[in-house]
Amino acid sequence: MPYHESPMPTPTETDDALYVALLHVCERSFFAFVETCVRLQFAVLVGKTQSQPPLQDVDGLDAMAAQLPRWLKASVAFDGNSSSGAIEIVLPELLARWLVASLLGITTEVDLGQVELLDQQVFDGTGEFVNMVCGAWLTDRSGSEAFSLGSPAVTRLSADWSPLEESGSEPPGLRVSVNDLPLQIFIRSATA
Amino acid sequence: MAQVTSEVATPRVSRPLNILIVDDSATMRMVIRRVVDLTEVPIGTIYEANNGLEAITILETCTVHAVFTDINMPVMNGHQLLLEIAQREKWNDILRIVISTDGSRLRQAEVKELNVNLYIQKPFRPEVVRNALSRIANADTH
Repeated sequence: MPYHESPMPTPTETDDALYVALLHVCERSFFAFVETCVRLQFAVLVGKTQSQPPLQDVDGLDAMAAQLPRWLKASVAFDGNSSSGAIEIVLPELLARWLVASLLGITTEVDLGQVELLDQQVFDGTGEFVNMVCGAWLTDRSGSEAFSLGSPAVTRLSADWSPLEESGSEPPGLRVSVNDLPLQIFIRSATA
Repeated sequence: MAQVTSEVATPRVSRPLNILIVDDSATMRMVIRRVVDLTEVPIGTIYEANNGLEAITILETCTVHAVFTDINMPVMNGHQLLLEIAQREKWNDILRIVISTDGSRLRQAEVKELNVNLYIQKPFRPEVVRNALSRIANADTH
């Protein structure tokens, strides 16, 4: 997963600030490459992540993906003067492990398979990831207004969960590719 | 999104520096520890605390020259910790560095009143912390 300068975003105005915050955090602290994703591209990335080919037929990251097909959901509540709610991020566990290892400076593309990360480290680091994204987004959005963040919560979603099967009544959130793996981010607004 | 968003006059410190890292995320404590280890500044002991209350226990029992603290933490947050430090004369010389996701001007202004030497917003590049610590420590010897 090479690191490059990520392109500037072209999503909707609503998602723009969130995308910039995500890009900023990924590039600055996690050394990850972020791209916007159209619906079809996102579906292909999800399909790759959730396919489970026989291990002898794959190698490298595909093998890791086959071993780590589960998704994680990380959320953090925020409270400001003008709005409150929560930011949620869903991502494959493989990506979460890569991000945490990268933050800790203990991995490269080659040796991810050799890195031993405890579940607790993956969950804690993924919580820090959503915390940073939320903080960056709120700082840009609120300017001088102070805000508070809750403690991040990270859960492992059920084995059959897929971001492509989310309820049609809810907006899909922002869908991006991070190091060629899918990531989805939502804002759950409690007050406007 | 500026990384180094607020800085005030730096007090003189002794070497080697004993560091206290206060953050409820073990991952972030490990990141900061790694960055501190990369500096050319002689480092003594690095202590860690999950929150402000644990930090005060360490400050009361150990010699600490510099505190890196988060703001949003359970039990006792970083603002409360900085307030405690500011109120105790024996801790006047401790360097205070805030590393927080909250980059709002109001939050920065709040902690600036508590003699914070540096306010760094997450996400940060490692060299920002490394350079800041080097600059602060060198101010003591040059």
